Amino acid sequence: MSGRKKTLLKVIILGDSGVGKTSLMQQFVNNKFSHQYKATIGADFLTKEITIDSNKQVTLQIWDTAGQERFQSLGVAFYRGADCCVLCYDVTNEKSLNNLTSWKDEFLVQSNVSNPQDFPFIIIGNKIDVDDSKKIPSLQKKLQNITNNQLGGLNYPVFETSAKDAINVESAFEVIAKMALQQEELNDANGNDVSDDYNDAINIHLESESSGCAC
Amino acid sequence: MAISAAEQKTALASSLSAINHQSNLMKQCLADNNILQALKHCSNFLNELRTNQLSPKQYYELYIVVFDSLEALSSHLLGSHNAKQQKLERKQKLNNAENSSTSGAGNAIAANATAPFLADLYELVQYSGNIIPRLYMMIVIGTTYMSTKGAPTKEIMKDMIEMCHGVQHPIRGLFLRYYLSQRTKHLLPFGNANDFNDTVEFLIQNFIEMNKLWVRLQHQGHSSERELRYRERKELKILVGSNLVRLSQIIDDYDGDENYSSIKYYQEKVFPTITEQIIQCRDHLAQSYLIDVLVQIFPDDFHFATLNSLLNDVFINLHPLLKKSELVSTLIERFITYHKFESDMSSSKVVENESETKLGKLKLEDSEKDGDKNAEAAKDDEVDKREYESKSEENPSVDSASKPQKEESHKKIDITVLFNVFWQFYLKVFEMDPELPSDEHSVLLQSFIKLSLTYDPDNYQNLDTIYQFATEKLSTIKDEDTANQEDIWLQLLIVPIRHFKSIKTLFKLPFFHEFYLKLTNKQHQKQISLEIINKLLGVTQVLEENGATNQGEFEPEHFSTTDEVDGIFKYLLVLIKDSDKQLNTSKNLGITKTITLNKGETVISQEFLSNQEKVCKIIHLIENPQDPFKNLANLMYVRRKYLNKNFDNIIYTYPTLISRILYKLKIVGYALLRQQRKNKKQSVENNQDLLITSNFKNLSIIVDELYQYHAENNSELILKIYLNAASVADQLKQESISYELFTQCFVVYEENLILGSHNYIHHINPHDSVAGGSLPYQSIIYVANKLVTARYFNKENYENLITKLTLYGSKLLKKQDQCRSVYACAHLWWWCELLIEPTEKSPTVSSEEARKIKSVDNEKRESDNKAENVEHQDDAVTTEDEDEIELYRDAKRVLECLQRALRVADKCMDPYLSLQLFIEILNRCLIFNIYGNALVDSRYINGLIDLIRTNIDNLREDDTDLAAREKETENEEDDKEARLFRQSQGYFERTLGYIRDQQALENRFEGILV
Repeated sequence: MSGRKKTLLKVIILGDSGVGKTSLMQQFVNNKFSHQYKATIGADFLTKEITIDSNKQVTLQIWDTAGQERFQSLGVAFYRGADCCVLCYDVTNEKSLNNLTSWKDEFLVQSNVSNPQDFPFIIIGNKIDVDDSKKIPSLQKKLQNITNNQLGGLNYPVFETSAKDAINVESAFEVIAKMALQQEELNDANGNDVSDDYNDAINIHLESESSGCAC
Repeated sequence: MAISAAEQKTALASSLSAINHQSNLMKQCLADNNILQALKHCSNFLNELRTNQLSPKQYYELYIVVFDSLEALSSHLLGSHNAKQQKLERKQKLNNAENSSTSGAGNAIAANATAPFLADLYELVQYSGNIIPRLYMMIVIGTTYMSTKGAPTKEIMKDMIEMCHGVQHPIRGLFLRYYLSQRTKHLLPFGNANDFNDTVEFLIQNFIEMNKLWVRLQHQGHSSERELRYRERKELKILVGSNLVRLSQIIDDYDGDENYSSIKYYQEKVFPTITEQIIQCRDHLAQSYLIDVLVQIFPDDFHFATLNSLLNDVFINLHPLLKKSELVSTLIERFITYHKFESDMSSSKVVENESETKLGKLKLEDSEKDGDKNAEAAKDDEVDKREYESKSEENPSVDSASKPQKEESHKKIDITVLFNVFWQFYLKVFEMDPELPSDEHSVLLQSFIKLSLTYDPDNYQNLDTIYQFATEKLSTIKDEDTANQEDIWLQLLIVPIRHFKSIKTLFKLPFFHEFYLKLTNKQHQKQISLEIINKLLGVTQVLEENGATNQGEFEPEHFSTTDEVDGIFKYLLVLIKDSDKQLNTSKNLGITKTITLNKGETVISQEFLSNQEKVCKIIHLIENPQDPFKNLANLMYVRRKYLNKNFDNIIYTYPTLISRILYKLKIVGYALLRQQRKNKKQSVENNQDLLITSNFKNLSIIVDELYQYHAENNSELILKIYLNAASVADQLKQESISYELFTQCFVVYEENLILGSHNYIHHINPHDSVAGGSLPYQSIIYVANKLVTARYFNKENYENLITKLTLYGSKLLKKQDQCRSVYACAHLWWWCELLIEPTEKSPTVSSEEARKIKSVDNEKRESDNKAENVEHQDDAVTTEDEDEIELYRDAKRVLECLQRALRVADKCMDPYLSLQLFIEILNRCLIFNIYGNALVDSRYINGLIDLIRTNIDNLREDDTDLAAREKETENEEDDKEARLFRQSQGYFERTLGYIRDQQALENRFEGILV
């Protein structure tokens, strides 16, 4: 059975409300785009199996999150165990671009990843189908500025996509999958044994705890 | 149950490690293919979910970890199922091949073969001891089972949702059902209408149960923990909301047959059930959250379709403490975003739009009629309501009929209909609860305004309806706290101002003004006026754009008709009438910046002054390029109707108004003159000429008014205004007007300036010829400066004026003022330049006179020629002369003036001052000499130079020390006399140097001995 072990890769999509996180995910997983705007309530995921490097089969578990804080009342426990984080902005909304940093910081604080310095992030600017006149002026410069000054000068891959017209969505997620796989392999290499030891050590006094009602 | 946060943390940590441990054990067992043992470990870690020590957030962390572990189990089970299935199929094929004749046994196996494995497991876990692990395992196995081919999906769903009733502990129950919904989400069947209905039923049932659990949580435990419960419930809300998300998704995904319309389905099935639940639960938190989710999660089309019912059946029946304004404003916010989104989308589809706008227009016209009717018959609620119900029911049918072009039909949202639905709802709310607090009203109405402006910026009807209502009904409501209430109304008025593209929209809203007038607090009225002004001047724009980008692009609006002027100035009246005399305590505390006026008698605040300045800027916007006379009439009108409502303030606004009027007069006047010059031969009887005259008369009334009220402290300013007007009048050949205005200047001078009651309290240095004069002296110089450019008086009038002025000058109190004003007035008798078109003839110069001058000029020219030095520089002068320029010149009077000045200077008691004045006069003589006054000849000038020399010598001799001191005090500035003497000497030397230079270069000043 274990001969063909399937790898589950957890991807989190973050970004301001209305930048098109759900649309990106829907476009990638279901090849659908809806003109209707629906706020995302809580967090939910879709899965998709893809093959990368023409031989590795992986399952992407893509978590779409609520951009509006009031729809995220239970906290962000689902960040844990993420293998890649997608930071989204809207190419027509400068604020969403400027907020990328805070989304990244928030993610690193909450997700408790072991390698915050080189955890894989990817940046997606969505809605490139929109008329040029509405786009953020001198976008490239501003983006450059943000990556240099606020995102620690790390060169995260940047994609400009249109969830509406399905431009660049596939290729972006391909890169996401590759990065996530790398991260997952890294975790496997140095993570598993440690957590096992840790569990054994604590386990001793757990057996006695069985209070509470019967339901 | 109340345990400390620290205890909770340790409980969480130990639960987490237990889960990890058991989960790893489970995975090992799975790897060994020991499923029963694996399930035991699974049940062990699921036991951790039975805790009741954790907060919802912490419980969620456990849940996530458990979720991941169960996924591993599920994928393993699925894997082994598939493997077994393959084996079975292979066996089956074998069997089939072996005994194809005895098919009975083979079929039995095949029927059984679908999945005994998972079905067995599903049965097996039912014997698990505790209900929480049991149900989680049921769900994970059940859903895995569902994902396989040929599974009895619906039975499993039914079973699972029934079994979930077993957990009635709110938090655990909520998470369990959340798990159910997460696991089932992509397994839900909706292949046909039946399946779809069942699925919707399943989701709705889960939603209802979760909502019950969620509401019940509030009523559990000790009453002292109410707050805690409330907080916990707030955290848990997304679990309940997630069901509605699923519902919305499934409705989206289901395509249905051709009779199916998702909107209709929502309207008939989903919406009533959900909203009934929401209403029935009678829980404040649940209602506000779920309505929010409902609004956010379903498409706008759905809301448009159910709007009437949502407002009138749902919102009305919600918890009375729930703020309806909040609900409505979220809904409206959503509609506004939708509209923006749609217009973004449609900007690319230009072609489609064209046909649509036509359609839209037709529809708008229809509904406008309706709108009118409604506004009139607001009382006939019932009739109206029926109308709207039928209307809103029409909408979905329109939508479903035109389903193929669904996208297009999105845009046909008719604002009038939409607005009216909201409006009826509002009236109903008002009727039901007349005590509704003002802020509720305000929020509601503000939302309506935004909605209307977003969907149709040109629809004023709706806004006016709002303001009419506000004026008639709301302003009569008296809260105890009137000030606060007014604040709220203020917001209501400010909102549209910020949203209008053009401020002129306001003119179309008569009730806006009515409501504005209902504000009793002047401060509030002022605030709105300022808001309007700032909008007009583009101030807000600039602020928003950080003063950089948009500034250049801002194009201020102009007001070209009386109505427009009325429209804007009625809002400015409060500023115009504003008086700043009683300064409040903030001034005493030094908070308000103040400015002292009128010799310290008046104190005004900086703010007041800047407000008046803004009013002035608005005056500049009164502009009508097509019809300047209309423009002038508007300016006059503003003064008559608005600006003179407070005479105290006209001093701030009139100067702007007057200069504006003068500017306009100049433009029309010059145009007229040019026209007259063109058709020289035709008679000049043009009524435009009369119009200009009458405008000047009106103008002089305005200045008179200003003078009447502000003579005491502002005479100097008023004098300048008169002078300016007089000068313009002269340039436009309005001789009698100009004459009167100059006379008026003399009146001001005599009445208020002659005594020198000036505002400045600074030391006047008599030796300073430029800035050292008293106010009366300055006034004379002002007048002289204007008179010297006047060209269209007849000789008599002109001489009258200049004689009078010279006389005033000679009667000044101080000798130096007398002297200087007289020699300055000398220039009035000797024009040096023409200033007017060379072809024209100045009426001041009688032809007889001109001839005389010409002869004098000729004489001079002859003498020039005698000098034999014909250089090119001279040519300029010569040619001018040859063109028969006629200038007003009276050599005798010039000489008289100079003589008079000399006499006065001589009489000065202060010898240094006297010397200074002599040198000044010498300089004047040189000018007259250059410009050809034959009486001021070299002999005369030589005499003057001698006189000055003598004076210098005398001064040296008089004060024997002086020379000595002169050397000593070269570097010391204390000795005033020495310094003055030195200055005068230097001045004299420079003058002589000038003469020498000119003699060398220009052949001037011949015969002057230096």
